Amino acid sequence: MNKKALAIKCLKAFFIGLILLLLYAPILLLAVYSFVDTDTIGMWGEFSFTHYIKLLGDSVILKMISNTLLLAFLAALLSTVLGTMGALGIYYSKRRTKAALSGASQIPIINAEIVTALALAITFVVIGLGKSYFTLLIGHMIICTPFVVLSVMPKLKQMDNSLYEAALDLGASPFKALFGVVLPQIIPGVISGFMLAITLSLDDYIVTSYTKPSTFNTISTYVYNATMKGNAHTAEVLSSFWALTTILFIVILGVTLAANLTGGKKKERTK
Amino acid sequence: MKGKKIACVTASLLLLSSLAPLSGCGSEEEILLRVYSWEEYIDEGGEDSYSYDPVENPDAPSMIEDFEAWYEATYETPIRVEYSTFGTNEDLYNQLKLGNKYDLVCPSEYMIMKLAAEGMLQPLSEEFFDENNELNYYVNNVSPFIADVFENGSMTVGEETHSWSEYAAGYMWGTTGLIYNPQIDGIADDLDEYGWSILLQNKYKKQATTKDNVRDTYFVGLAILFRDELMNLDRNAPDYNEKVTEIMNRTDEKTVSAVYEILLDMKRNIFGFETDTGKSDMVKGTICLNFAWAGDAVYAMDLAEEENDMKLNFYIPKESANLYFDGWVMPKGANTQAAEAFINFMSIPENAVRNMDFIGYSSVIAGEEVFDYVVETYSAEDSDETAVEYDLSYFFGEGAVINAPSEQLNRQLYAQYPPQETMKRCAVMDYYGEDDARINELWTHIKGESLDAWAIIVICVTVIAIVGGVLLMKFGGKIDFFRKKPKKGYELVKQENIR
Repeated sequence: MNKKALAIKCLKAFFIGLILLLLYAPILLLAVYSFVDTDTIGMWGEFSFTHYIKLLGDSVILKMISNTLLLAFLAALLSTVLGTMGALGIYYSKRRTKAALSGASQIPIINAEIVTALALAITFVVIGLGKSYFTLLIGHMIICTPFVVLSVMPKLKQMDNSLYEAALDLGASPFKALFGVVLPQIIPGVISGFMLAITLSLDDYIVTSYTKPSTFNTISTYVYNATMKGNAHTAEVLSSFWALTTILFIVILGVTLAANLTGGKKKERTK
Repeated sequence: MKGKKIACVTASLLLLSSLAPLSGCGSEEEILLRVYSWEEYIDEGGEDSYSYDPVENPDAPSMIEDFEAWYEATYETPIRVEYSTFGTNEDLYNQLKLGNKYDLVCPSEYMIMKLAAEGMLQPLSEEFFDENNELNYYVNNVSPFIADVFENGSMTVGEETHSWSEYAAGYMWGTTGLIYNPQIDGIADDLDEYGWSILLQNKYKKQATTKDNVRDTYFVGLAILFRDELMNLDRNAPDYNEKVTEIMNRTDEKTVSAVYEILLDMKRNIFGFETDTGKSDMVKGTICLNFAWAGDAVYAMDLAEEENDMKLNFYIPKESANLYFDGWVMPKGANTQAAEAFINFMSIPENAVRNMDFIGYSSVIAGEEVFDYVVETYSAEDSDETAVEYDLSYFFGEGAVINAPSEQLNRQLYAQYPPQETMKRCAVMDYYGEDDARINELWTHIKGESLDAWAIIVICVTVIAIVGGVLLMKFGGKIDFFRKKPKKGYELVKQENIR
């Protein structure tokens, strides 16, 4: 019996390892090639930091990266606020309105992104907003907010509603009760919604390309344009993104590991 | 509490800094010129620039900055250029249709025709063509060959027919062709024998790629379909090029369906369609034939030498090849004066060289400096006894001959400036106009038809298995066959009976 359990355990570990390997092989490949001085994946060269030097030394690339990160952060922040308020609104509304509202709030998820993007672009033109950083931000909020709502809702449903009522009975104003009692209970949902929003905004191309002001470039719009008519310079910039991928991967890996390790310690303590 | 405050301040600072570009204001007199072009399609300055010199010009400015300075010095008015970029001609078209305003855009030839046909363009002014004005660098320096192409090319604007030159000024040009790996046995002879139809040969099965776009692929289909007709034309006849152009612009229903069959065969024979992986696949040796634009081909050949110490060649098939160009045009409502000044600045031969060197494509400009640059790049060493005379007088004017190493007859020089003999068979492919829908449909079918019979069978079997599995899990218990048989001596008791 013991042997069988061990075999199953090994099989499980092997299976998980295989899946992880398949998932991360492309990133690992980029990470390896980010230390090689070629612009072509598949061509071996010498060990060098060329791509890192290019990445950190080129003001255009740095501008693009900061554009992307700042946009993601702002869009995520605003859509987290909006999405959390939306989720609260939906949760506390009457049954029929609740169903209608939660359905309507998920339309951007179901809708093909290109449809959302075109609809937005046309709307902005019709109401005379044109294209600016503001329209870009709105575009990103529209793709992020539904996901925030989606991740906050379950936390609201799990929440012990009597605590909120008790707070009101004990004389707290509705605002105080909201921030002091409701919010602390749903905060994990809010945070995961925020994280989700950041990732969605970071890798978005379609909505960005239709709502951005024309001189503004994020990484995704640059990469798309550069691959369409490539030359030696686009190749250099694109290969410097291997270095960016590697840095991001290591940072995220570090954060996740740290979070998991400290999380594990807390659990042990409660035991 | 303190942490919260800091977070608040940072957040508001971030907000402010992100809004700052919105309120960017300049003096009222400053002219704004909005230019919309391809990504990395202009000298962007810095260490990669041709004008860079570690001692004399350590922070080489970009072409845009130079233009702003030049404009202010010449016309005594400050100007600010808003330079933005697109990825495909269709992106440009969408942005224009969505009401984005530009003064100068740089689409390819067919998109120029499409924009003109829809009345979205503004003609170049008469002053632009005044050869006596020394600031008109474009008309004074453009290659006679390109000027001819632009003069003879016609397009419809509304009801009338106009020549391209009335609306467009060229920027970069080139031909299409095949990059090949000369180490493969007999490949040069095969190219000579089969031309474009080498893509259908079994010998090169899964060894070639073509571009993942309808126009380039359709052109190849046409060249293969009308191969006999093209090869039998009299190459010395004065109207040879006209005839080739007529054939390569056929879009009637019969032709399209015949091309469809050919392209379907081709698709089954080639390695795949690509947008930007062709170059690296050639360098790695995954494939040995790659459809390429001349500019890309030059880059691929350089890359192969640099990274894999390997020589690649370029071939322009005997039937015909596509002559393409990207040109400057002004959308309606553009600031004509500033836009034309920009075109002229880009056409100063020194600047044409800078752009050419940065991008790797061939400029339409043929001034002395451009020729010197070509000589400097390609001429043979004195000791090279196999060097050949390479005549480029059709492009640069009388007496423009380069003493080039013989290998350049098949390599970068040949790709960048094919000899006149070759240029005769190159045809511009017009905008398809009303037949656009038909050809796009052909492309959809070509791309969509990608499943082999075995793949369809596998998919069907999987779907049936999944549906079967789900049904079994749901209703399996009700069928006697799947019910667990009780052990000997036991009896199955129905639930109701327990109660």
